[in-house]
Amino acid sequence: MYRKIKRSIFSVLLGLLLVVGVEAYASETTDVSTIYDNAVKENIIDPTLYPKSDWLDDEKKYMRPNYDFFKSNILDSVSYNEWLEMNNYGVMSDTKLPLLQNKNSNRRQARSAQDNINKFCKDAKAGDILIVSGNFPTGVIGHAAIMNSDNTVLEMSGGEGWKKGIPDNNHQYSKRTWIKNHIKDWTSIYRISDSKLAKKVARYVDTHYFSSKGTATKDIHIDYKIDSLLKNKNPNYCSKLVYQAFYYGTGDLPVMKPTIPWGVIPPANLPTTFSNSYKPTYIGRY
Amino acid sequence: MKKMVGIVPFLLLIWLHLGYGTFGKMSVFHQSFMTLSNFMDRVVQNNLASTLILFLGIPVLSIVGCYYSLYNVKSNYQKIIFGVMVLVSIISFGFFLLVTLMGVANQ
Repeated sequence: MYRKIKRSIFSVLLGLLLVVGVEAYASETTDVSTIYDNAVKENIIDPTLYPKSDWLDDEKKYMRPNYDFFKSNILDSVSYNEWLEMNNYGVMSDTKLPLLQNKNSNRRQARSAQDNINKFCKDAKAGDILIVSGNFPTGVIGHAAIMNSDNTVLEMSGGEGWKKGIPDNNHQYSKRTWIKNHIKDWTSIYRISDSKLAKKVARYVDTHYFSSKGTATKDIHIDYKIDSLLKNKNPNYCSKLVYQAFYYGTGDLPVMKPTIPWGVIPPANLPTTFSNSYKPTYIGRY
Repeated sequence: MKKMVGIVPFLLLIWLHLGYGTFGKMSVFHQSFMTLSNFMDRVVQNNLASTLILFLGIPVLSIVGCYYSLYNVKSNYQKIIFGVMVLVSIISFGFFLLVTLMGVANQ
């Protein structure tokens, strides 16, 4: 008798658990469309830049699988809604451009790859901030570099072995070579409005992070490592280099927001580290 | 014993920070980090998996251990200490998560 009661209680509990589980899963999956609508209402997604059909397509192809990977390998206590919120629903916070559209998708492209290269070479100027965003497995992190002259790009390239640190990782490329290397992903250009200041920053970053004489011969060697010391020049990483270029290269001007000298700056967050009066404007995407 | 459940993984977390070089390179700790990292790479045979175990496993272990100790110690003074340790562990988890995402995205 006692065993029977025990069994029925167990069955009821198991049934409840299954019902709740299935319901939770169902509500989470069927609400995806509502999530998009809410994000549009809250002005996070611009439906003209990221139509619902494209978003739902990316949600199915990239966001959900990335979330599943995140949940099973990294942190399982984050709900799908929270994860989408953390990733800003797959769009850049300032320009509202989709982060997850790579250039291999079948969607209509305004320019061909070659046109993009040419347009980038025409538009990019000394002191411009370059932010690469693509279909990374990590979703929104990206890569950053800076124009250290009108014709060259300086970056901390990163690569295999980042965990242990990569020696001598600061590289300068001609802007054409650089954009060709990154043409499979979207590159956004950001520019501060003061062109003289931008040139000063470019000169600073060139002479302090590549060649002390300002020539094409590299005599400054910087190791790659993602550490927490924002003001330490060596080791360095992609977005920290760009941050330091403006932090140190603009002298006493309050270009950057005051912050604690400890932390990590993700490349996609670089524009938000500027003070309002010097906030860089978005020039275009290539 | 209940205190050790929190203290040991927390010390491991501190070693991870010093060995990885969160606050700058310290050669003694860095050497041991390199040794363990190379060993993990050889054993796991998967770079991403060994990175996740090292960079996320240790902070998670520290969070769980410190929480366990926090709820099992009786003295208020010790509760405060374990509370701070939990907080440090959570911040460290965030830091290493970001470092891992950025490192993987740029490799």
